Amino acid sequence: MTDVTFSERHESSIREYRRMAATFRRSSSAMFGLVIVLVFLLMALIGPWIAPFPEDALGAVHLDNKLQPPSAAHWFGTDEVGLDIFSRVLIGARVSLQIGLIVTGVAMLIGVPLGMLAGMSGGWMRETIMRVTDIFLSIPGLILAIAIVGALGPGIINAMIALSLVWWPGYVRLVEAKTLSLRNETYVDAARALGAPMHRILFVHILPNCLSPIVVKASMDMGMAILGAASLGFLGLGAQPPYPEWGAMISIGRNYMPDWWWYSFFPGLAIYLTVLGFNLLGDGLRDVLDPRQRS
Amino acid sequence: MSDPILSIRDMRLEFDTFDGVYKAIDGVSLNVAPGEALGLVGETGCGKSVLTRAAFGLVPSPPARITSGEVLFGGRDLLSLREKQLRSIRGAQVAMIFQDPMTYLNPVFKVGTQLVDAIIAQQKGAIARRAARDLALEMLDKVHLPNPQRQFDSYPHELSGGMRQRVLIAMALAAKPKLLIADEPTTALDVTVQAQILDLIAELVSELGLSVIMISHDLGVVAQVCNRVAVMYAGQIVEDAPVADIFDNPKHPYTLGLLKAIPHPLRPVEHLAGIPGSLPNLYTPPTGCRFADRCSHAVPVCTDGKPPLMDLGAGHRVACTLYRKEHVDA
Amino acid sequence: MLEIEDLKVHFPIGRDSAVRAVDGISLSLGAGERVGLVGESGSGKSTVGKAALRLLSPTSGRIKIAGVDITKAQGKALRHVRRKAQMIFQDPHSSLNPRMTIFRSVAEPLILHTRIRGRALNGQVAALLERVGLPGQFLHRFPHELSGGQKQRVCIARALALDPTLLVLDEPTSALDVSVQAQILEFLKELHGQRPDMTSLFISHDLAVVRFLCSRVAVMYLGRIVEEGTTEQVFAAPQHPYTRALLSAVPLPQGRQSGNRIRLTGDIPSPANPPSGCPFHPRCPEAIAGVCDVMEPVFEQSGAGTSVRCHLLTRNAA
Repeated sequence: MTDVTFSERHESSIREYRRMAATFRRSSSAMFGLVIVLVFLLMALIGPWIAPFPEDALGAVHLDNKLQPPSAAHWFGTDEVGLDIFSRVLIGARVSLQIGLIVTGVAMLIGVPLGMLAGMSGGWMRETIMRVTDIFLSIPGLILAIAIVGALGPGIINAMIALSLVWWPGYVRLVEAKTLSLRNETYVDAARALGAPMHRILFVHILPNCLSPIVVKASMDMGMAILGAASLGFLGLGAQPPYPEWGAMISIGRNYMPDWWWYSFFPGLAIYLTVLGFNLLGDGLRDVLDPRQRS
Repeated sequence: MSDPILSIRDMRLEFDTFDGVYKAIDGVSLNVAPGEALGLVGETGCGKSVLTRAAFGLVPSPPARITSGEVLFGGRDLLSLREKQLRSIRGAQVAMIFQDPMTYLNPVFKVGTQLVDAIIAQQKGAIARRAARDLALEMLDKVHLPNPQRQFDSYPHELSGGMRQRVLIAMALAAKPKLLIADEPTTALDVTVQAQILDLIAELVSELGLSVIMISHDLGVVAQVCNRVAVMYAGQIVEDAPVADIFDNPKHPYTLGLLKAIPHPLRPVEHLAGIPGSLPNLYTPPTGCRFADRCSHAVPVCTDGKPPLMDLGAGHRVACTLYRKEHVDA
Repeated sequence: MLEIEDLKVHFPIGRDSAVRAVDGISLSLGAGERVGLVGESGSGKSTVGKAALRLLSPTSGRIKIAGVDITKAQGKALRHVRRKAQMIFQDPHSSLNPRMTIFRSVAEPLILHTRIRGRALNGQVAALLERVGLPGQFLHRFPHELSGGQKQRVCIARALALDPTLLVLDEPTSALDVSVQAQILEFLKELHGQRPDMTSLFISHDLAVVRFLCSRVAVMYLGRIVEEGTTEQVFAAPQHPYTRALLSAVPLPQGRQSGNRIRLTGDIPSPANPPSGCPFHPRCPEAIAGVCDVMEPVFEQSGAGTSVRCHLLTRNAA
C-alpha cells in the first residue's frame, strides 16, 4: 500500500480527468468559452502592467486628448477627459473579476449550507428555508438589488452586498433538490446502516456529490454577476466614475452616442464577451460533469 | 423446412466510443422459421438486445456502425432500406414489446385512446375510428385484460405492471404482425404475474401462428415459451438448439456453466458453480474462442481462431472446438 | 439474536389513509440461523429488513437485537447496535458512493467505529478485499470501473469489516447475472460455514435462492407472513395456497415444463387498500366464500410442521 506510486494510486482519477478533458475539447463552443475566460483572467491578473496608460484608470485628466477615435496610440479611443479607454477596459477586468468572485462566493456560502439543511431536515425547518427562498425568488433579482443599493447608498461595495443578497436563493433551490434525491440513494442508507453520524453523511456522502451542479451554476453565475454589477453601474448605483468599471463607463459613454461610439462600444463588448465566455464555459462544464442534465 | 421469416446473416456491429471501437456483435447468423418461437439467451453485455434492435434499425448510428451482414425479412434486406420504409415494416409486420411497459405508454392519455391511435397509425389511416375502437376492445379481450371496457378509459398509471404489459401486447398484435420481438417482457414483473404473461404469449403464438424472438437472461422463462434457444456470449452465438436439447443435452461449456449456476427451486442444491472470470474486453476481443479463458475444458487450439458454428444434427449447432475434434474422430 | 414482535410499518398518505407496508409481523432468529423472507413486490419484505436495522422507524411493535430493545433507540445507542448489525442492499452500484474509491468505501466502517488508521487500516482493508475474492488492484478504483459482481463483493467486504453478528441481505443477487449470482451465493454459503454464529436475514423474491441459502423460510404476502417453517418443510409440502402458487409460478430451467401448474389470476392488491378478511382471498383458487373474505385467519401449526395462516387448515382439520 505504502509502496504504490502517486500515479498508480490516482490512476483512476487521472483517467477520469482525461476523459473529461477529451469530452470538453470536443465541443468547440466550450473551448471558445474557455479561451475567452482565460483571456479575461489574464487581463485581470496582469492588466495594470500591460496597460499603455495605467494612470488613466483612476481619474487623470488630459483634456487636449479628449474623445479621440481609435488610433495606434489609443486602440479603443479616448473619453471625454482624454483617458485611454483601452487601458480602462483592461484594468476594469480586475474589478469585474472581483465582483464576480465575491458575489458568487458569498451566494454559495449562504445558499449551499441552507440548501443541504433544507434537503436533509424536512419538516418546519425545510418549510421555513424554502418559503423564504421562494419569497426572494419571486422578486426580480435586479429590482431587489436596486432597492437594496437604494437603501445602502450607491457604491461598488454596496452593489456587491446587494447582488450577493439576491443571488443565494438559486443555490438553495439547486442544493435542496440535489440533496433530496441523494438522501434516497442507497449509499446514504448504507452509510446510516454503518452508523455514520449526520455531519459525516452531509459532508462525506452528500456534499461531494452535489459539487458538479454547483460548479456549473457558479461558472454561469460569474458572468451573470458581472452583468448585474455592470447594470447597477450603468444606472449609477454601482461603481462611481471615474472608477474603471465597465457598466459605469457605458453609463457616461451613452451620452456621447452615436458620434463618439467607441466610448460605450468597447466596454460593452468587454461585458458581452465575458458573460458569453462564462456561459459557454458553464455549458461545457455541465456536459462534462453532469451528462444527465443535458436537455 | 420452409423459408425463414427472418434471416440474419453474418452481422457485425461496432460502437465508436471514447475508449475505442467496441465490437458488440461479431458475425452472428440466425434464422427464424414461420411459427417458431426462438429464445435468445445470454448475460449482460452479450449483445442479445442490440442484435435484434439493430436488425430493425433501432440502434442509433452514430455511435453504432454495422460493418457487415444482411437482414432478410419478407424478401428484402432491411439494412439497405431507408428509415421511412423501415418504420412501415416495424409498425405493421414486426411488433416489439419491452421490459418496462410504462415507458412506452404516454402517461397523459387514456389507454384506449393510445390503443386506437396506434391502430389507426398501423393501418395508415385506412380504418375508421369506430372500427379501430372495436378492434382495440377485441384485442384487449384477446390478451385477457380483465374488464376491458373499464380499462379502456383508464390512464396508464391506474393499471398494474402486468395489465400494462397486456395492453402493449394488444397494441403490438393489433396490426397482425408476422414476427413478435419480446425483449425481457417479464423481467420487471413478479413471478405470479410473470407466469400469467408467459402463458399469454405462448397461447397467442400457437393461436395466431406468430413467430417470436424472446430475449431473456432467464433460461427458465425461455423454456416456457420457446421451442428453440440460441445462447449468446460476448457478441457471438455459441449454441443454437431445440429447447429440450439445451437443457437435457447442452454441448457448449458456456451453456453448461449457465445451467450449473442456476439454483433449482424444486430440488435441494448443495453447491452452485459460478463461471469464473468475466466477459472478455470487446475493444480488443481475443482472436480465438471468446470463452476460452473462462472455460474449464479449454485446450491450446481454442485460442487459435474463432470456432465456427457446427451442425451436430437434429438442428443442434454449437461453436466449440471440442466438437470439431469429436466429429473428425467419428 | 434478532427478535421482531408484532411489527407494523405504515406510511401515511394524505390525512386518513396509510400504506400498510408491514402489518403485524413476528419473526425470531436464533444465533447462527439463516432465515429467508420471501415475497413479491408489495409484500413488505424489504421494509421489514430496513425496520429491523432501524433505517425506518416502526409504527408499532418491538425490535430486539441481541436482547437489546432498539425500537426507540437514538443517536449513540443506535450507532452502537449498528456496529454489530450490517446490511447488504440489492443494487451494488447505488450502494457505493460514486466519489469514493473502493478503499475509502471499505475503510468507512473502520474509520467510524475503530481507532485503526494509517498502515494498519491499509492492511485491514486489503485483507477484507482478499477475503471476498477481489485482487488488490481494485483498491484505488472507483465503483463505476467495476462490474456488478465485483461491486457486490465490495459491499460484502464493507459489511464484514466490523465482524457483524447479524447480517440483513436485501436481494443481494437479484441485480446480477446468474453466473455471478452463483459465485456470490456460494461465497455467502462458505462464509456461514466459517462463521457459524453469524445470523442472517435473507430477503428475496427468488425461492430458489432462498432454498439454496436458508435453513428456515417465511413467506410474506401483503405485509403479513402467511407461512413459516424449515426450508425442507415449506418446499416439500407447502401448506398455504399462496406458497403453492408461488412455487408453481417459478419458471423452471428445464426442457419439459410440468403440465398441471397453479395459475393465480389478477394482480397483487395495493397495500394501501388491502382486501378484507384474508388478504389473499381475491386471488386464492381455494377461497371459501363467506369465510375467507370476512374473517382474518390466524397462525396455526400445520400437520407438516409449518405455521400457516389459512382457513383451509382449520376446515381440513375439522
